[in-house]
This record gives sequence, C-alpha cells and structure tokens, in this order.
Amino acid sequence: MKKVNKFIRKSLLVTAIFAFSALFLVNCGGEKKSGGAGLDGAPFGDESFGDVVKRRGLNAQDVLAAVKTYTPDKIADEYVSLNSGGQAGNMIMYTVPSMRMLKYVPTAARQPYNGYGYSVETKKMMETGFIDGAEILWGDTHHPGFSETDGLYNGKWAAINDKANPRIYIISLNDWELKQIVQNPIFRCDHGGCFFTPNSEYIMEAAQYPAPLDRKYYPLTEATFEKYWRGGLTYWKFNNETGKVDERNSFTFEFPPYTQDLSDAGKNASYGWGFTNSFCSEMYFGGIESGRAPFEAGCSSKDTDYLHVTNWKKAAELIKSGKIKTKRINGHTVIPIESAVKHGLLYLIPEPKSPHGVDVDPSGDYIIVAGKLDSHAWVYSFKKIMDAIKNKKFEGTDKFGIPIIALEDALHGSVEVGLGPLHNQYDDQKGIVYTSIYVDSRVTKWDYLNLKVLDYVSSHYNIGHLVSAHGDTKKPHGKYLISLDKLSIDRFNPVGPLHPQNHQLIDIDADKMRIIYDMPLPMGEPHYTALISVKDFKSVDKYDVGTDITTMKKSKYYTAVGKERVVKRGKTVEVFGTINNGKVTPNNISVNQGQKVVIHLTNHGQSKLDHYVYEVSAYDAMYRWRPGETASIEFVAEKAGMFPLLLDKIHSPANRELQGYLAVKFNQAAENARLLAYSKRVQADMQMQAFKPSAIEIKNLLPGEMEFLNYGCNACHKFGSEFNGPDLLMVDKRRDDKWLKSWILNPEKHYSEPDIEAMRQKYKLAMPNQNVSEKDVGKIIQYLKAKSEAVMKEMTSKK
Amino acid sequence: MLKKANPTMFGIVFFLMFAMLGQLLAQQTLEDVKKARGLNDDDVLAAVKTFMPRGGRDEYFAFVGTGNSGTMIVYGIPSMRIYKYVGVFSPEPWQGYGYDDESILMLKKGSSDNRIYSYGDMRYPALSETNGEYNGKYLFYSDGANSRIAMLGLDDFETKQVLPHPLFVNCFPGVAVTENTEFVIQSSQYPAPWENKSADLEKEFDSKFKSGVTFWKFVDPKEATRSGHHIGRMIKEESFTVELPPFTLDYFDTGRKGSNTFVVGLASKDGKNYVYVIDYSKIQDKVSSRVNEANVVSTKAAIDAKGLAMIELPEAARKVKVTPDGKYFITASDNAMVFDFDKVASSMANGTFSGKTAGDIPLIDANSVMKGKVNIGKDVMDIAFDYRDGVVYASAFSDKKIVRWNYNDLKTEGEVALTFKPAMLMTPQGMSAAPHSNYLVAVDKEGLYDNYPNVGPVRPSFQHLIDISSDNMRDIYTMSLPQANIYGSVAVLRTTIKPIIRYALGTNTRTGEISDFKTVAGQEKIERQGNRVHVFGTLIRSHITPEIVEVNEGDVVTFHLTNLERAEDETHGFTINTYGKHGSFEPGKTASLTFVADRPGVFPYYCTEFCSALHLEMEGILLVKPKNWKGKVEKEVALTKEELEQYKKQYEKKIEVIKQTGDVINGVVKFLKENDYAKYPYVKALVEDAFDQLEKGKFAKENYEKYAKEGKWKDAFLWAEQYWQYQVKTADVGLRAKTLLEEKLQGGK
Repeated sequence: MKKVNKFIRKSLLVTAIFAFSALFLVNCGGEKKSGGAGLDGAPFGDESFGDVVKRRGLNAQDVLAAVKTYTPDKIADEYVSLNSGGQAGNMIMYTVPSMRMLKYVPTAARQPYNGYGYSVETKKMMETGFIDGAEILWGDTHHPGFSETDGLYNGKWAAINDKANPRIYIISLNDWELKQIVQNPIFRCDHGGCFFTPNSEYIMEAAQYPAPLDRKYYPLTEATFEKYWRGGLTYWKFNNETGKVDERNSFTFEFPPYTQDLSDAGKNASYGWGFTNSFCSEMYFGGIESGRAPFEAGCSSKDTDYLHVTNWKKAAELIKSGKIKTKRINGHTVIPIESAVKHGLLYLIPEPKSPHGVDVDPSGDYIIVAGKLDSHAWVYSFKKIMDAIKNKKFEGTDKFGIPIIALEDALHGSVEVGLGPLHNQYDDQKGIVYTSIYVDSRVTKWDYLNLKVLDYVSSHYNIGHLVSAHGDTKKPHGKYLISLDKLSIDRFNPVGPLHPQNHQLIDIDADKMRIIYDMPLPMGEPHYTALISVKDFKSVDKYDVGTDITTMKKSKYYTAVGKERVVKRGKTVEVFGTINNGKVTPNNISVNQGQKVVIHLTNHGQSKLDHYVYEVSAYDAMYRWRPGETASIEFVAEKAGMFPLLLDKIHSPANRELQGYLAVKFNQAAENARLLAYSKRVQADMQMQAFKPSAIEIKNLLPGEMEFLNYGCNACHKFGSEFNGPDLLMVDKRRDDKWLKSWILNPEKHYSEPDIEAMRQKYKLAMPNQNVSEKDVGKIIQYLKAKSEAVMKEMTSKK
Repeated sequence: MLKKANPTMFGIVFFLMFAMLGQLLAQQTLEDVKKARGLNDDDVLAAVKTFMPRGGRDEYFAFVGTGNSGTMIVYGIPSMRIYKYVGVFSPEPWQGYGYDDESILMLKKGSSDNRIYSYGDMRYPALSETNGEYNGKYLFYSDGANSRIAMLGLDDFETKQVLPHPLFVNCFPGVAVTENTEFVIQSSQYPAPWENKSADLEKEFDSKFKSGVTFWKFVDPKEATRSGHHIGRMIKEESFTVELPPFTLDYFDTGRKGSNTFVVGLASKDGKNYVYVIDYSKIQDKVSSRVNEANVVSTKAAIDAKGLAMIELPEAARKVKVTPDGKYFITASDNAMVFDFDKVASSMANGTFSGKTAGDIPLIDANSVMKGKVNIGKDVMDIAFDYRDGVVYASAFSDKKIVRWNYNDLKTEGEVALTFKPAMLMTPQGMSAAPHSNYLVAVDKEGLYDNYPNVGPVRPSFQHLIDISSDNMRDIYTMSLPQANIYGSVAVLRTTIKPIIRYALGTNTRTGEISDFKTVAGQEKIERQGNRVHVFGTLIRSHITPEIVEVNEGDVVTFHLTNLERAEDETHGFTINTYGKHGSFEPGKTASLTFVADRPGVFPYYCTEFCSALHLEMEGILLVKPKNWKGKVEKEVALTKEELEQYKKQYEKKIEVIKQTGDVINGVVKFLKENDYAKYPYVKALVEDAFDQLEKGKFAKENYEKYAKEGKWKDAFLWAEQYWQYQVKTADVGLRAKTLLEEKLQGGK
C-alpha cells in the first residue's frame, strides 16, 4: 500500500505538469463556449476555419484529433474492429480511425434487419444452440478472436464465446455471418474464449463459474464444492479451411473449481502451450442471506491466484495415440486432473490477486498477467517456466495434486502500472506493452523487457479491456489503441439512466499517447475487441443464386424463374417462389385457416442493391433476402382475413410494394382454437399479475417512511439507539424544521458547524448528500416527528 | 438573404498560434496530418465542424426511422455519433426488453394473439408537441408490419406503451401528432377487410376492403406517478378511426397554427394520385359505429360533417408536408406543388368541389387551391424546411442534387451537387413550427462506396450531413448506421429533452409506478406458495442478495430484483446461466424474471454489466433439486487449530491493509476538499457515491469486529476482506472524481 501512496503522489506531479501545458493550450485555443448551437436555430453563415474553431471551442489538440479521424468518402478507413456485444448477444463492428458504426453481426439473439432468427434456416441455426432443449434467444458474448496462420490473422474466421450459455459462435469473414454454434456440453458458464492457437489448430474456451461437469445436482457445502464442482479449459479442434469445429476431436482439461478467467495461446518458443488464469482460488462461495460473507469478500482473500499452464500439443498427441486415460462426460472427452499431472500437461504458477488478462507477447517468450487487485503487472518468462518444469523444481502442489512452480522461478519481473490493471496489448516496437488500469482509469505504456513505465494517458472512465491493431499476433501494427471504457458518465449527450459505453481511440504512433476520439457504443457492452486491417480480409457482396447462407450450399428449395409453384400437402401449403426484378412470384397465396404456410424464395438479383425484405402483414413473418440467397419463412395461418404481402427493397428509396394478398379462408375450428389460446394467455397473464407480495415494507408505513427508506436514511440512523450515525429520536425537538431541511438537502453546507464537526469526529463519517428532492424533504421531516412520537409512546407504555 | 461572415483576424492569429504550438509539442502539425491522410482544406473544415471534443455535447438529438429493425436509434448532430438503440417493436436483450416480465407484459398488451410479435417496420417517427413545437417528452412510432403503435418516454428513453391496431391489417409505418399532441395519427397503408374474413380480391375489393386514418387520443397527465415519472398514454376508448374506401395510403402530415385541425396525406387508387384532407375538428364527435371495440367514423359521416375531401394530383408525389407556418402543404414531386390551406378550408366549408371519387368523397380541383409549383428535378423524394422564411429543400434522387428553394416566391435559391442519390431529408426541428437551419441530413439508400470496408452482403445504411448554414451548401459527413433500414428522422434541440439519470428506488420503468416487488436493503427474502417461488433480491456493487437460492425441479421461479445504486451509470445486469432470461437494472429500477426451473442441477447467476473492479465476483448460485432426490448431505469439514491460527494472522494483516487504504482514501478526500469539489456537479456526484460505498461497508465492519471478538477468525477475516472491498470501491470512485476534478481545474476537457 505504501507503493500505492507513492504512485498517487507521482501521478499528482505528472498531472500538475500536464495541467500546466493544458492551461497554455486553452489560452491559445480561445474562450470556451458550451454547445455552440444557436438556441434559435439561426444559420451560422459562411464560417472560416478560425470561426468554426472559435465557435466550437476547439483547442489545438482537438483540431489535430479531428483531422486524424475525419475520413471523407475518398479515403478508406484502415481497420475494422470486431467487438463482443456482451448482453446484447451480438458482435459489434466499427471502422478505425473514423469510428463509425458498421455492422451488428447477430450471434445469440434474433435480429430483424439481418433476418437472423426469422427464416427457417437461421431459426434452425439458433436451435443448434438450445441447451438441454431450452429455447435460448439471447447470449452474453465476451471475447472475439480471429483465426490465425503462423501467428498472424489469416482473414478467414472469427469466433466468440457466450458467457451466459456456454457456447461458441463461428463467423465467416467471407460474408461476416454466423456459420456454426457449438455448445460446451460440460460447462455451465464460460468466459475465457475465444482464443485461437497460432495455426487455428484449436480454439480455447475456459469455464468461469465452476459447476459439476456432469451437470447434475449436488447439495452445496464446502465439502461438496471441493468434491463435485469443477472448472475447465476446452480446446476445440478447428479446421482453418472449412471453419468447422470438430467436436469429436476436441477435449477439455478438468481444472479445480477455481474460477477460470481469460486465456491466451503460446507462440514461437511457447507454441503448443496455453495459459489460463483464474480468480477465487480460495474456492469460496458466498451466501449473504445466511450470514456468510459475500463472494466478493471470500473470492479475493488470498494474495495470489493461479496461472494454469497447459500443453495442448502433447495432450492432443497422447489422446490420439490412446496413451492417456481420459473420461467421457456428456459425450465429451475430458482429461482428468490426475492424468494431466501424470503426463506433465498441467502446471500452476502463482499470479497476482484476481487477474483478468493473460497475454503472450509477440515473441512468445513472455507472458504478462495483470491482477485487478494488485497494482503490478507481472512478466513471466516462458524459458524460466520450462526450466522449472524440466528440473521438476516445484514449490509443492495444490489440493488437487497439480505441481506449483514458485513465482520467483517463473518471473522475469514486475512493474507497478497503477491500481486495477486488467489487460495487455502489444506494440510494433519491441518490448512495448499497453495495460488498461481499471481503478485509476488510465492506459499505462511500459517496457516489459526493461521493466519501466514510459507513459500513461487517462481514460474516461474505468477502462476494461483495450486493443491495439493486431496486438495479439506475432506482428502487432502499433498506430492505434482503443480503450474500452465501462462508464461514460459525463462524456455524451444524456440519454437516460442507461448510458452508452465509451470507446476511446488513442494515437500511439508517437512516444506520447493521445486520445483522439470518444465514441459512444449505442447498444450492448463490448468486453473485448479485435482489430483487423482492411487489407487482411476479402469479403463477398453477393452469393451464387440459390445459396443457403447458413450452410453455404445450394439450397434444395432453389427455384428457377418460371418454375414457381405452390404445392399443397395435407395441412401444409408450400410455396416455391422467386424474387426477380423487384417482383415476387407467385403474387397471391390462398390457404385455409389453421394450415401451415411455408414460403421458399430465391432472390435472383445479383447487384449490391438487390436486398429485399419480404413480409406477410400482421403475421410477424418476414426475412431479408441477400443477393442470390434462397431462404424460407414458415408460419401457421391462425387467423382469417386478407393479409398484404409486401416486398421492400432495402437499398432503394421506394416504398415497400404490394405483391399480392395472403387470403386465409375462415375455418370455425381453427378460429375457436385461436381464441382459446388467446384467452388462455390472457388468463395466465392476469394470474401472474395477481400475485401481491406479502409483508414487503410498503404496508402500514408512517407518512414519509417510504421516503426515509428510499433515500437510504436507515443505513445510518435508528430511533432510540445510535447506529452508524446519531440517534434520531426526538431530533425534531433538538433542531428546527428549517435547519433540518437545509441539513438534509445540503449537509455539506453545515460541515463547518462545530457540533457537526464534533459528530463527524465521533462517527468518523460525514452525512452524505442523498440528493433528496425539495418535495420529499418535508415528508422525511414529517416522518422524523411521527416516528419519534411512536417510539416514545412505545417506550412509555413498556415502562 | 443569408448571413455572411468574413474570415476574422482571429482565424489568422489562431493559425499562427497553432503552428507555434505544433512545434512546441514536437509532434505532427496539422499540415503533416493533412498530407499524410490526403485531406484538403474543405475536408479540414468539415472535420472541425463535426468533430466533438471530449465531453462536448452535440447540438441536436436525432431519432431515426429504422424500417424493419423495429428499434429506435438516437444520434447526435453534428458529430453523428450514435448514442443508443432502444427496443420498440423488436426484443432487445441489452436492455432486457422483451426478456424481463415487465417489458414482456407491456408487449403482450400490444398483441391480440397468443404471442408477442418479434419485429416491426417503423419509418417515420414523431415527437410530442406543445403549440406546434417539440416539448421533448415523448416519441411515437407506427409499426407498418404488425399494425401496432408505440410510445417512448424521453425522460429515460424507454418504450412505455405498445398497442395493437384494432382494425388495420397493415399500417403506414409513420405517425404524426397534432399541435398539442391531443392526437397521435396513424393510417392504414394497403387496404384489407376489417372483420378477419377473406374476400375475393377481384369482385369484392371495393365492397369489402377498407382503409382508414386513426386518431389515437393521447393524454399527458400533469401529475407525476409515485416514482416521479410523467407517463402519457394513448387511450383506445377515446380514439377514433375515419373509415375510407380502399385507397392505398401513404405519407401524411398534420397542420399547425391556422391549419391545426387538418391532416393531409397521400392516397392512390386505380392509378390515380390524391391528397386526402381531413379536418378532425369536424368529425371527432361523429362516431357512427364500433368495430372490434373501436370507434369508427364512416366515410359518409365524415363527408356530411364537411371533414373529408380529396385533391387529385397531376403527378405522383412521394411526400406531403405542412410548412412551419401552417399556411401551406407541399408535395414532394418532380414539380413540387404548394397548396394553400386557406383555400382548401374554404372549398370544404363552401362545398366548392369539382367532382367525386370513390366513396363519394368530394374532389377539390388542384388548380383552385394551389399556390403554384416549382420544377425541382428528376425523382424528387422528399422536402424539408428551414428556419428562414419560406426556405425549403428538396432531394432529386436521379439528379444527385438537393435544391434549396422558397415556397413564398416559388423560386430556387441554390443547389448542392452530391456524389450519391439523396432520398429522405431531415432538418433539425424541421417537422415542427420552429425549424433550425444549419444542418440537413440526407439519406443515401444505395450506400455504394468504393472505399468503405466491405464486410459482406449485409451493409449498414448511410446518411450524409449537409452544412446548409450558408449559400455554399456542403456535404460534410458520411454516417453509417448499422441494423437499420433508414427512412425519415426527427431531430430536436439537445436542451429540450431533460433525461433523468436514476430512477426513484423500486421503479417499474414500463408503468412508471413503484413496483410491488420493490425490495430495499435488508428486506431481501424468498417467498414460496406451493411450486411458485418469488425471490426478492437487491443488486449493489459487487454482490447480489441473495447469493444462494435453492428451488425444486418444476418450480415456477421469479427473481424480483431492485438495483439499490444511486450513482450515475451504475447499471447492473442479471442472468442465470442457460435459463435464457436477462434483465438490465439501471440505478433504482425493479424488474422481474420468471422461468420454470425445469432442469435440475447447478446454475451460476451473475451480473452481466461490468460494474466495478469486482464485477466478476458479483455472482450467485441457483440450485435446482431434482424431483425425488435421494442423495445424502455430506458433513462440513471443521477448521483445524492451525487453520484457525492462519486465519487470525490473515485477519490481522488485513486490518493493517484497511488502515493503509483508509489513509489513501483520506488523501484523495483531502485533495478533493482543498479544491472545492462540490462546485462541480459531476465530481460532487462521484464523491457522494464514494461516501455511499464507505457507508455500506459499515455492516461489514460491524461483522468483522463482532467475529474477531468471538474468536471466529475465518469469518472475521472474510468480513474484514469485505470491508476492504468497500474501501476499494470508495477509492475507485474517489480516484475517478479526482481525475475529473483535475481535468476541470485544467480547463474543462
């Protein structure tokens, strides 16, 4: 902690210097004006460069940042960033350096613009991700990775994990569409994925919150937790050419029930090895409700956690040759801890408390781990790790018998980088690394070979991950770094309680880092981003006519122009149609109420403009057909009537055009079924709403008590006894209403009063401003009186 | 005449200063960057006109018509940065929209079927108005695909109401509001029978197919709900629909000022094009029947009340819009036509008609009510108004140009040639009585750019920001907008909207009421009624209470969670692994997640929003016990004497750390106080939050002191650890406050 103090002092000094130079800039930049818009909307007129700079209050750095990021149509952006969408369950793409939003690639959740989850084909794709058959229509995507050849992005595939529903998604860079969903059959939660090995031999996916691997129920005790709960690391066998995950030749390392976090694959000298960190190696579980300290206390009580070192190359060879004892759980190959230990496939090394990122450097010789609760970043030497393994130099084993390499035997060194370091990204200059510092809200640039800090820049606020161009490959590009800020508080126009995230583009070309753009991320919460140069991938803009885009094969429902037909079979009406020259054939469809309708359409358009949405009004049935695509929509014609069939050309300003009508002929039985289903649904909803919770504090409240509770006054005050703050019994007799009001509204105004100061000394805490509104303060005071009276009455009656 | 400013002395001085500074800082100069990136002077001017310095505020909020994405998008002008996507007609998991019980229930009210529709087609939004000007309170969308209407509250940017249309099978995907938002207007697009029966398209088209225009009654109560929200509502019972013969209806607009009771819209039938004119003041009390429990004014009743007429257009138009002064309405056609409202009104009042069309609707002769027309160009798509008297812009798609002209003197004033084909146009506030005039946004539907990264067939939509502040109009920014099939937009001055940053504790954000399931700290509990389990929990940095929940297989379980945070931007999310539910809990919000625990096993749950350094530790476990489970509960292992001794040492060590951390916090507090932090609202809010965090630690402190006294060293240590975690959170926020304060002291950036 002394070091932390020193660090703060040092940062103050640096800040002071910075403040001075900034002041100078501001003076030169002219007076600051907020907003800039004339409130009346009058035109600004013809403005020169100087006029604009003055009106908008830009300083010299702002102007430089503007020209570094502004990208007119004649010049191209340099990079595309692929982000996880977090709980939006998608992937977010934007361009660099212009920081313009580009695309949301759907993965876990339906997306009407793309059509994902609306066609029969994409619905089927989603179903492959239904865990235990449960319909899961969202996900929590976390860490995207690009496929690699020889440790460099090969521009073919991207993969991402889903923390909420342990699955991974494979996206083709050929069309940036989802091609495969792979369920992890033994984890309940994952987080550390997707990380490709240097030739995309495997994709690493680590568990997060441990759970029994057989997915069975066990009662929760400390004993059962150790016995049945497990973590793990899955190596998914990947084919770089087909982009398919080969589930049969994939395997999982069983890990102790430490909470595993991120991973990275070794390269060059460390090729064949993987590194996975963990937190909560205390194996603690909380239970505030039963008096146990919460997870957050028990999960970070040790000074170190464990870096898991795994040898995937040797493991794969042993499994192939049958020389290792594995077990099958839910049909999946698992290497038990004892087998892994026996064959020298698994080691532990202490790492700083609650680490997040573990990042192998471009040379593959060093691995940097940053621990959120330690102000240092620790640099491990792969050579030292190998020496320790070779010489069997271990400091002991953990409870599960895994050999532990002593920290000093593996460490190249450590550097104090700031409070709450999280994640590291590399530069094109040798030995340079950038680390995100969560608590200090900054990026620290440092030299991991010579172990010294070089520079830092403040981010806004609380940076989580960061990314540099190709920063996790053998050849990082340098140039740009993006800070993925978790909060954006005062950065943008306010849009309600839910704020956008903030991604800050940082120019890292010069020695001194500079933030050149603040970009709001309008949906989802990106956890990690990967940046790929626009030169390193090549995508199509259309498909061969008749392509099913989920399989990339010719669809069996392909229909040639002139071969359109309607086939009626039993209760199903199947339409084989075409979209050609902006028209759908057949135009009208006639069915009976209660029949199932399947419409297969082939889009014969082949230009970039030939994107069509075909929809059945009021039936919630639609899909977007890309040029050349064949896809189907399917629904039950549950209600009778005439429903317009519409075609909308997305890349044209024309209206959606009427193609014809779906005529659904009335059928009494089907109508009865529809009405019954509807009224049942309404009944169920009403039943759901009928529940009124019992004895929640709302009943029998004194006037103003709700306000008292809402503003959290009860956190510190009681009536009739002291608590964290003074006793409020009869407070209304000691202070007048006016004073009480002023005190509650603006306590800081009274801090200098001697009796307040005395109380502050006594309780070691000043009363915080609780943002009580003018309207509520009166009610609170009313409650103070009423409650005092009630308590007094009770006390006297007891006597 | 446009205001013209000359380059000032200031500009030149600034340039010199700038050059000096560049050298002083020994880094790239403006010229270096220009050269390296191939930018010219116009590009630099465009860059400084659109670039937003850190923490700067955009001048306008713009709300986008997003087509079939069913999602509202809001962005800022002039930086063109997108601020938020909000689920309206489509589910949106980030906000738990369509995933938590409250929003599901709201969406169910928007469905007259046994399901929730999963998308919508929304193209032309409208903002609520007072006296014809935007009041910044509500936003409306029409769902053209599944025939719904929706309202968003702009205090929190959430969808508050979705209603199904009782009559129309297909709606025009646009809305308009009357001058004081008395009514929200929605029309059908393609005609269909209203009685859920099929009909013969050839023989029965004129007799059974119908169109209509609906006036949704909107009520904006003065009184706030208990949560402090003002939530307006569309009231179906007080709404009415004007029945029309089977015309295909298109874009419409409402009158204002002198024409404030009129609605004008495009209609077509049998190859002929019309503008329909409805004066709702004449017909709102002429309800003649009720169909599907909706009030209907028949065509005949509307005609009889002199409230309905049509004008046949000599050429097809794409739009019809009312001028800001309410005197005219203009059609977006190659020869833009300006119609005089006064003349139209008097024709209708005096019965001066030239004939009749379908349904015996009287026809007004176009020439008799037209002020005049102006030739614009080829394939005119849209028009937009300006602050300057009579100024209007029109986009000529095939001519790749936007023309500025004046509807008063019917003369063109200038034009800007573009590199793309312009479609829909929007000026900030342009659809209100008070348009602004520095920016024009033009949609590029084609989006054909050689230099834009090719990321597969599905591309974003594009629109351009055109600088219209002077005679020399310029295209200054190309914005891409993903997941949106972009159409019309509306924009309002930033300061008109006054969003909240936190909810009153326990708010059900969909109803605006305090939720019955609100839970405050210390009152968390689990309630059971047979197989129905209600978990009343709370969320706070960095734990979920309760942390361990056990239920039986087959139980119907609801987690009712309240986010206790008061700090800005401290949102928590919640999900249970593999159970497919997700909620977003902004500070103060209460929401519920219901699911059937039909799969036995162990299911971790966690916070999905990175909320603090210990976010990953914000977790819990749901245990679902199988039916007829017969396993045995294993005994807990007791601590050995050595282990206990170990914990004691750890405890003592932790107490030392707590003391040191306390010193760090005091250091930061000292700095903050010495620099008058309370003068800066954002800093002040952060400092208050920091104190809040420390405040919450009191409970942990009591615990560790208690357990230490009792010699329960493991518990003492763990609670000491917990207290320290609160200190870390205090330091986290405190340091953020300090950084911000340092910036403020440096001058605002």
